[in-house]
Amino acid sequence: MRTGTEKQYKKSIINYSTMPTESNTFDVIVIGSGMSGGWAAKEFTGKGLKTLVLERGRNVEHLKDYPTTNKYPWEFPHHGQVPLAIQEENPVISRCYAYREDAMHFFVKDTEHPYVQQKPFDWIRGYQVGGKSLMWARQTQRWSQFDFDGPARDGFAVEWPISYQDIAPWYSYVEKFVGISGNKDGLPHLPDGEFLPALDLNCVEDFFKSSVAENYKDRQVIYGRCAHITDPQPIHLEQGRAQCQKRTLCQRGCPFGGYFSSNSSTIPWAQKSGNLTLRANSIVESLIYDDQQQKVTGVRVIDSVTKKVTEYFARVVFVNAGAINTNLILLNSTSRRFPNGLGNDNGLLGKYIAFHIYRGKISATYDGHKDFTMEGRRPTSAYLPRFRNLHKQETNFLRGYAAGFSASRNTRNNSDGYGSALKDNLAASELTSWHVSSHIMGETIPKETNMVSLSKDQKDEWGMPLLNIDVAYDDNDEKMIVDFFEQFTEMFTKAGFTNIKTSDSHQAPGLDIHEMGGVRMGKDPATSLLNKWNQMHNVKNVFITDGACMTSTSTQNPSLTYMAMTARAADYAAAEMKKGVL
Amino acid sequence: MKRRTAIRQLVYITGGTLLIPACLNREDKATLSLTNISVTGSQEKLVAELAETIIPQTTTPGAKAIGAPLFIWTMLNDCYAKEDQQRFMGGLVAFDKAYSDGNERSFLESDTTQRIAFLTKLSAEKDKKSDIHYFASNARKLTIQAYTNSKYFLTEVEPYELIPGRFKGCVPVQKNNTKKA
Repeated sequence: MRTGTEKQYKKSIINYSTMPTESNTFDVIVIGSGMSGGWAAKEFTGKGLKTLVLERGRNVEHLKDYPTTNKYPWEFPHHGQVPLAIQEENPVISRCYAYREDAMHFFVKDTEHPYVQQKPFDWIRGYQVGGKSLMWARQTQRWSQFDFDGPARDGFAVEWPISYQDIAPWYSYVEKFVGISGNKDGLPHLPDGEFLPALDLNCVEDFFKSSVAENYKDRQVIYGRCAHITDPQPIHLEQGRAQCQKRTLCQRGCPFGGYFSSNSSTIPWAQKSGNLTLRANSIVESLIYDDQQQKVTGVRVIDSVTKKVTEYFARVVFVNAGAINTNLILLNSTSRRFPNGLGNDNGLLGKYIAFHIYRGKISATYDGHKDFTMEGRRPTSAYLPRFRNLHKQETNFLRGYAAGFSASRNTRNNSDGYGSALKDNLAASELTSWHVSSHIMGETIPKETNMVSLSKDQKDEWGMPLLNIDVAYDDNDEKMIVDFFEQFTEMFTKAGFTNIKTSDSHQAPGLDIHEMGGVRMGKDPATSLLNKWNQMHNVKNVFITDGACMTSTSTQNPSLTYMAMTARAADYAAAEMKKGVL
Repeated sequence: MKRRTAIRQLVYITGGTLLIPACLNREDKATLSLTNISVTGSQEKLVAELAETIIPQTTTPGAKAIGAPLFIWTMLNDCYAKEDQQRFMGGLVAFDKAYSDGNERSFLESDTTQRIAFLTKLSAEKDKKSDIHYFASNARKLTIQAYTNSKYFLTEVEPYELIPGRFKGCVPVQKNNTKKA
């Protein structure tokens, strides 16, 4: 089987001169259908351009392919737990919080898609139409100018080629379509957006908010902005999406389209235009560079089921395969002109990979507000924007962290006794004290040594080289975690919380599922791969607008920024195509 | 008699064929076919009766009616490590023997009062490291999990809302929030 595949693969390389015809030629090819690929598809098809979206995984159609979405807890044979044999075979994915019996069919198993961990790295993937937008945590905070200024001010990576002002209108543009629930908080370091109404903070979150405001002039507790429709607008109804019903079963796919995913929103929108061709089970082997025309003419695709190799052609290619896979495809796109990967004259492709620190957690008990509780469920929590080193350097580490914060009150079932007594005990639940917890979301400093590269000798089932991942924490990260524990212990103590416990999961990079970089943006082609339009400096008809483009990471959950950058880059590319430049 | 027939029918529907008396199976064959554990018909019966002793049928459904035995075996088979499966099964055999040694009748032949007396004595023992304790405590834990996650419990006792449609961050605690058993 494997020999056959490799033979086929080599054969396709030798005879790769598929001729462009009407059926295999498009205006734009988008590689990937997740968070950013879906947006590229929506934007280009909306501008009347014939667009091919290639997705390496299977098709997942909104509503139709959410097999667990309406299941009750008792309908799962293991009540949510993943069977041990699957966990043991797939240790990486089993560490992901959302890899549970109700959503495990949306995640990639380690055994099926191997990679090489030169250092421990938990690469969490969802190979299907919609990608990880189906199972994401839906937090959508804007970047501010403080974040874009980071590398230049603190002397790491390279200067961002764009400012907050460049991206702000595009944040607004995508927020209106996506549907973001939030409050106008008026914070310069976490700019307001186009918000649908926020849900409540609960009593204890409100109490902590007041306590922090009293004790710290520079720290805020706000409602975490999230991609949930709390008050549907005509644009959402037009997408076939309805109000969020507070099920908090989002990872199964939402029958109401209450949260944003490519599946519920951008992909069906693009399909309605009549300009979209969506091809699932299509692994992009490489982009085809033409030495004479000095541009990419198309992509080479391996059908994941039949392993047949085909080629598709287009004037412009958007690579939105997910940060790490975008690096893989570009590194594998070699030609006489670019022997080390597409556009990679400076040798920086695959380098400066960064991520977010999610290791630290702090929890405590609060004995107040015992006469109050919550009702229903809520798909977000409170959020503390970054306060460390915001205006100037003031700690022994660079940058800082944001934090999630939530308070909850559970019911406790007494499980003593036997027979009727036990049944009565189980039925008489009592409320616990309030439990509070917070987790770090820290910025990491991109470094040349944190990198991905192609394996020289190992290939996957489809003949693609395996990816070596060599990414680790550094001293700055360790200091930041210590500071998070110190500062939050102090804030919790001042609020009167007791039984304060800190814990460092020591989880590997990657489990944050915020991997970024490798194809960074910058002003100078000598030190970056992409210009201010997410366009390759050296290959003008190729754009990268997923996490791979990120010059630095800041602290905010990144998906909203990828969506805004994608819409902005697509608008630029379409204008250049119209002008005949591309 | 009518009631017993009704219960039996309910179990046939919800829990499969777990109630078929082991004596009908001359070779003591279990009704369940598990991939990782080998279990006899009488072991299957003992676990079902133990679960029913812990959470019996009263005016409301008990362990067998809500399918606890099937859940216990499913979890043991799919979610327990091999050595833990062995401890559970070893503990089951030891439990059965210890019961028979200390009582006039076997566990299966005893009435509920005698069974509870044995379980109470067992849980009062200080040293809980033996396989018997491992078996008894895990069977109890899984029975309670099966019960509190059952359709009956989550619709009648502590209703689970698939579609709450609302979130209120601060509501007064209802004084009378004892649920219906």
